Amino acid sequence: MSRSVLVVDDAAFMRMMIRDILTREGYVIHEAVNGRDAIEKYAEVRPDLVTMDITMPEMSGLEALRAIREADPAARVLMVSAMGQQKMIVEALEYGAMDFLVKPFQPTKVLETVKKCLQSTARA
Amino acid sequence: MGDDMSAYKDVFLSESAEYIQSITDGLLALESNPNDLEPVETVFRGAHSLKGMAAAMGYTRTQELTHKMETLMETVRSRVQVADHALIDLMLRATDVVRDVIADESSGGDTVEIDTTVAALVARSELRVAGGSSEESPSSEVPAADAAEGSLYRAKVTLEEGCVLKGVRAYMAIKRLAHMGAVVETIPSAREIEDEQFDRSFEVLLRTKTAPGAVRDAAMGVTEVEDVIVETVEASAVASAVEGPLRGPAARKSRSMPKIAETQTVRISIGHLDAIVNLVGELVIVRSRLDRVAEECRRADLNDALDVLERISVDLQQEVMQTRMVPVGNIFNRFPRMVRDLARDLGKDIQLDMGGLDIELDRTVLDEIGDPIVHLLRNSIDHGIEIPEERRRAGKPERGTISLHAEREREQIKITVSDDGRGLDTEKIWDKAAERGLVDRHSRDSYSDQDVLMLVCMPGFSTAEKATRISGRGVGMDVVKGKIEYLGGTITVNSVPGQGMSVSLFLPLTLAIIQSLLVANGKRVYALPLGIVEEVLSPDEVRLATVDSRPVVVLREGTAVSLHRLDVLCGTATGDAPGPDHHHMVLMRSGDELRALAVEHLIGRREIVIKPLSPLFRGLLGFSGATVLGDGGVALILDPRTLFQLEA
Repeated sequence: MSRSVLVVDDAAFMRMMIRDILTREGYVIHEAVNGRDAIEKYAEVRPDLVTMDITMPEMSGLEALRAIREADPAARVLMVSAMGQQKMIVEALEYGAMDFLVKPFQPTKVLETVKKCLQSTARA
Repeated sequence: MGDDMSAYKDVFLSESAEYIQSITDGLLALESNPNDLEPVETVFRGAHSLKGMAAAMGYTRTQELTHKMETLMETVRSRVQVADHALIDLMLRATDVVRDVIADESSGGDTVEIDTTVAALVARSELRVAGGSSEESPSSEVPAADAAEGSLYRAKVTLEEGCVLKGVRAYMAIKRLAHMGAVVETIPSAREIEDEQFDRSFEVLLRTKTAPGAVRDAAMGVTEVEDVIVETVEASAVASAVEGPLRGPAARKSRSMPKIAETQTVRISIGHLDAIVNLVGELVIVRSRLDRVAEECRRADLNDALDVLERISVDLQQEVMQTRMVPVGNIFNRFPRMVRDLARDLGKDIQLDMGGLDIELDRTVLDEIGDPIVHLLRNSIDHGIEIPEERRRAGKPERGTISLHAEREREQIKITVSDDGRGLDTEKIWDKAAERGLVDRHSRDSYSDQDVLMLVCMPGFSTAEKATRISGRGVGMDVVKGKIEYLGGTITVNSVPGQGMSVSLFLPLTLAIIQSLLVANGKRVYALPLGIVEEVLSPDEVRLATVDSRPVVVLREGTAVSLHRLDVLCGTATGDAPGPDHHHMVLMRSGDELRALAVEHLIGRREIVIKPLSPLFRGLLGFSGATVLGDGGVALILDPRTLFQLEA
């Protein structure tokens, strides 16, 4: 059974990059364009993993993370950030994010991290 | 945790007291300025450090409690919560429990319970986000009781080459480890790791029951961790963990750490210091005996050697006395909390100003004056400062001020407690004193206002209309006065009705060795503390007179000072003794007054070692102790405060 990943990013370019990396390995991809959209899509498709950009219009990745984790304490969320966002990543980890990726990313690292997240159980 | 830890207990206890103090200071600072983040950091770090130290010692209740305090402060630090009065109250109460539980656990007891406090802290912490995240802070998921048990491991974690945001990676690894037990310390410090001030490796000292292999696996599970080496730590290395927070470079950089890290210090037991002081005292006595022998021998080489010996022993003595000096801030620092709590209980608004915290006093003296100062502060809070409405009606600011200041005055330390409260009413005091039979109601004219104020220091006197929980009734100023005089000090009381009062305590710098003036009547030798001697006048320099049928000495500038004969005071006067016109006059201070003491012979200035009088003679008027002289004779040390009471 192929695993599903919800890719959340306001930049279509970034969504495309992640989608290309993951579909090659057989993952099923869903997309959301901001935090609010992510919450709705998550409820709808119940993906196995969310990759969540931090800085987005409408609703930030941090807020979306909190809402999703509140609705589903077992939700697995992988944060995607730019350099210089240490504080926000730490905060995200406190709110239950499992790991993080830093842009720009190498395909192998993305795959490795996604695989690792899917192997472990999110802490409730 | 076995006996091998006991050697570190003293260090733990004194350091934890410092942290408890800095937490208290931080909370009080935060209360007066809730938007200041600096004290939040101080309190947070204090709780955090205590937690780590307690874990290393295996004090599970202390560890759990401080962990919950840290968690609560984290919510303030991250601006999720505001530090309102309720939060400060809760944290202060928790700090009290920490103090109690440390005392309990360090003495092997298990009577102090923390559950209520922990529950209150948790409840308040969870106010953080309404319906907030279910995420608990890491180590709380492992029951603290388990966390502090198990073995101590050092995990050296190395990150992959080219790892970005390595501070966050390190954080993830440390968090994983914290899940399995208690993180005692990280090298470099957590702050430095967060700031990425490390190369690729850092170390985590962890106490856990988990097997080393599983510890390694957990840390290896973090993305971009290249390698983890886990090794068991010997007990001796734990010591460096306990002391680490003070010694590490991070500690020195941190502004709110206790000052101790600034200078290189060695902790030494008071018992050793006392023994050294006693030995130096003996050395001083032997040296003056040698001086006498040398006088008879008249040998130049012996005198030279004795001169050198004298210089060395003076230096040695000064150094030794210096080691016993402790800043008064050490006992003052607990007062802000006390004043705040009592004022709130009484519905009063009181600010405490403190000054001269770095003034140093002999440890023995300092240990003894804490209670008297507490008493004076309580008097001011309870009876001095009015309730806000009353102050407003009197045209004063609603917030009352109590000040506590220490200053050096010659060979004495002056500590003053003053307030801007209602002050003392001399006529009320007089009436009460008369009512209690302490004075003859009709003799008011022979008492100055100052004398009347001092009546509050008489046993059984109380100016309080009614007894209160805080300062009680009757026991008070007489006890304070007794204590100060026992220490060789004096006390003065001043007041302006309606504007406040002040009490000053004059204390000797040290109890053990003092500079003194030796005088003699016949063959009897007496020592006067040099600190109270103003001047010595020869018989031809003074004029004797009588004022109100009392003998006085008229000084050059025309002031008259009451004259007292030492032989009369000491009851050794004989009919054929020469009259005071052949005596030397020692001008000395007794409290606020200047008095002249007539003595037959002046021997000179000596340093003397004070030997307390046997308990049988405590409370004996006129003398505060005795000393052994160079010739083996004994001299009584005159007590300036009570000496003149012998006259009556």
